[in-house]
Amino acid sequence: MSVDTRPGQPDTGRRSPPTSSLVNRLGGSASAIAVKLVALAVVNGLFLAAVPRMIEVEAWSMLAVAGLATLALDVIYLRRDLLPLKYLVPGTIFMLLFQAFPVTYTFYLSFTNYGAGHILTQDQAIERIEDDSLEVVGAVTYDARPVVGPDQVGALLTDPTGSTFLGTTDGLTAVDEQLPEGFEAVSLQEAAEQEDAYAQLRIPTDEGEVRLRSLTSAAVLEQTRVYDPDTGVLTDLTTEMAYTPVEGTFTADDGSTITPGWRVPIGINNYTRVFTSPEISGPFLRVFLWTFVFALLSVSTTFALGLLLAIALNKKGMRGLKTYRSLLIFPYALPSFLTALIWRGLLNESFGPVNQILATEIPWLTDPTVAKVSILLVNLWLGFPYMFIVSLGALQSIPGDMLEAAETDGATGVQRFRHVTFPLLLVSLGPLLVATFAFNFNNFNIVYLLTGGGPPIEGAQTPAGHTDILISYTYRLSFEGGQGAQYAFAAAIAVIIFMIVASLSAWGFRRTVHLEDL
Amino acid sequence: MFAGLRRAHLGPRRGVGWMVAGPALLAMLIAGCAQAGASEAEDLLIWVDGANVPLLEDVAALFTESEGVEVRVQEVGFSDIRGQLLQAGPAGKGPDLIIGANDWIGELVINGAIAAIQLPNPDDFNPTALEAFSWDGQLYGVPYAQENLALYRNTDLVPEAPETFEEVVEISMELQESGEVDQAFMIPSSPDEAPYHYHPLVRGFGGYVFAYGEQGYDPSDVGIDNPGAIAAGEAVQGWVDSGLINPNVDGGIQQEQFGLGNVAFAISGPWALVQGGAGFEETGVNFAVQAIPPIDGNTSRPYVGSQGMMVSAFSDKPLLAQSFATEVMAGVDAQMIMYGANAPPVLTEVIELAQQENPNLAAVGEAGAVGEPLPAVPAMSSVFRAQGDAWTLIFRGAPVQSTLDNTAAIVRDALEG
Repeated sequence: MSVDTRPGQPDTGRRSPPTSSLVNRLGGSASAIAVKLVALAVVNGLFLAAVPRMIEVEAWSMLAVAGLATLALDVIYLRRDLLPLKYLVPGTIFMLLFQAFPVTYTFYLSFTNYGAGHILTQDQAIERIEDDSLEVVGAVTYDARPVVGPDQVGALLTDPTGSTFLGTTDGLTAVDEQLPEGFEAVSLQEAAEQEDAYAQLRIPTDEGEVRLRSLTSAAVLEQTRVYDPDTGVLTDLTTEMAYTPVEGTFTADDGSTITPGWRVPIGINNYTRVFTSPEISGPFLRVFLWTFVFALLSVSTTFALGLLLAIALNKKGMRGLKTYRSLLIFPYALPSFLTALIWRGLLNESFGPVNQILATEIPWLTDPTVAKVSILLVNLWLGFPYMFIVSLGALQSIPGDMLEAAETDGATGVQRFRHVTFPLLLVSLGPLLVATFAFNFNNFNIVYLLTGGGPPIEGAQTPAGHTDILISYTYRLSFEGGQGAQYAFAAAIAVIIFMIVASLSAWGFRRTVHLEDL
Repeated sequence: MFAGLRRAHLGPRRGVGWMVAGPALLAMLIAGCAQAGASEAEDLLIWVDGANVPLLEDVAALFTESEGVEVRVQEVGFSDIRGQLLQAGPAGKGPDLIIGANDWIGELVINGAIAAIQLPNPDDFNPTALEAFSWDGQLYGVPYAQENLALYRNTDLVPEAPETFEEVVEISMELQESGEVDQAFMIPSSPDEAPYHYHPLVRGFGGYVFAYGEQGYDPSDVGIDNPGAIAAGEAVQGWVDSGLINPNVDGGIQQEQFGLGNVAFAISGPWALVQGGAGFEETGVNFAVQAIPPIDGNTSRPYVGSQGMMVSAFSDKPLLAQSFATEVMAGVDAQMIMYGANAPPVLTEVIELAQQENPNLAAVGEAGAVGEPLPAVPAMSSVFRAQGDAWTLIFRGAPVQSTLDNTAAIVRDALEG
């Protein structure tokens, strides 16, 4: 892009080699153009590669969006103008993909019943129910081998007495030694290439239609549940009961239901459940308060310790400075999910090294109050190196002449820190503190891995622990409660937490902007 | 900007050609590669956890040899298989078959994610393992192994096998009082482990989670707060006070301490035998395996879990997948291969082999003869969660009656959905 700064120069025209005219057309050096073309080719290639699949699953809107997006990228980057868009588009695409889309999708999910028992589409659920309702009629089951005939597939059936038959849509024919003319046994691999034909094979017999249950066995099977697409009613032929769809489940008049159900929009039911169900709203306030305290204390303790160490190690010419700094960053370099598990072992009341070394019997993780302290201490250990690094950086960027000026005015060390260093630090670190607060508000790892939310709250109507924060509490509710994963319900709670964190962060960021006015 | 547009018209035609053709060629190349990558030549896809990948590859090879069917074995974390099947399956991206545990089937069936199976040779299997894989009268898995708790005894510390649980208590307390060992009896007691490991004791006292009878489990009859369960809770509380049970013991601590010879009795499953160096058979400790002895004259019944193969309801080759499960997986050759999973086998012929080759493993399997299938009720994770909390509170001295009343209320609530 650096070459193209000569708008006023005369055109070099035909004398220039083709590459340089390409350079002119697209702007930038030859290597930059190469990179650009390759990148665009990759984008186009990925789109083309996805086209057959999207056509296959009939994702027309996705195809249209992806096609238009690819076209737009080509136009924007192949033209020399549209400079602002060249900068804005990549960021916008990533924001849409990784921020806007998940948030929108979560929002949408929270208004459906997607979750245990309701993960299929209605068509899939009906197919499943009808397939599951196949019942073996009579006692005869056959061993089967797939066979290919002149114009149809068939199966070589052996009944329990050892008699062998050729089964086709025309019925059963006894087979002695050889298959009739034109019929040929095939391997399962060959048969599997036209599985649908075998799945649809119906062999009429006196007892009913014989069907394949696998490529190697068959029996007279009868479908006992039938869906009528015109009326939308599912009928059980054995009990004569009629089931109509109610909120994604086939339900009879007497209230009995058939699984599986399917996913449908259910309005604000998930939200009303959060706010009205006594089981959920009971511990909710308690958990919410602790989440707040946990996030606030996590930020303040890590910041205090990190800053203290940063100030101590900000002295120039101190011996072994680099060694100290590297050692302090150590906890930050280890993956937190591992260290949390290790701490869990270290803090075991009877067998943990911490109590053994201290010769104490402190119930680190089993007493409600002590467990809260433990989790904050471990989080402090995990979090202070980050604060140390950013504080050290911020300290070193504070202009020395300001501190000198303060010193000349007769300010003491403490006064210099309070009135010059700290306010300047907060200007640059404020947004980071807000972000750390938001992170800890949702710090699922430490809670889940260190205490599992425990110790449990005695008499809680729904399983909840003293160290549970909102995210771990709702994880339990949505994925370890009820009859399995309740994605839509989890989405509703995620939306609520998102609102809380977003408004707190917005408020926090606004405050840090005020700091800059100081 | 205008300058650029003007130049574009003046440039030689060759340049334009390359500008269009080059990227287009590359784009097609990438599209081609992606296509080639997407359509691998496979007939069936199996999801299996890492440890079992080599075994399943051998089983798959049986099918390839006999029928030319290409089976791809893909590694998916054990705890992820169930959830990912539920997510990927409906979108048409899941496997044809999965390897998993029997207690998944309730959730998978009510979600319509797995298909029923008819075995050609049900009589060759351990009936408890088949029952464990049954839901609503239908079979949903081909088992290859079972898992249940047993009592491991350090034969140097306790030469004679105890016949009742009361003897276990007595011997343990004597060993602790004489100072020979610090903790003679160990049972994993973390919230995640306690409900499963204490269940045999609770059953001995007459408590249960769901009533178990001829028809299998009856989820409408919850026995978490019945007199037997409360007696069990109170007995455990007494044992915590007397020092027989240390609730800070978890599976890892128990494994290590028993392996070092510091423990007389441990309640554990077949996984305790071989564990990449930490297994009891590997550390050199002298031990014996037996069923958990009866309490107060009543049988201590452990859960019997089972591992096996299930057929995805989302398979696009359901008939072939069914054939793989019923013909190959249920056959002796495959079951022999799966014996390598270090869990008690479930097919008669393989059980007989294990009895000769690996008496400890066979003994763990035999300890499961008095057991009951691990329930596959979809609400089971809620049940275990609530029970885990209850045990934690009971260990710390909470009143047993009110704690279990509350737990039973939570469980009944979860069952309603």
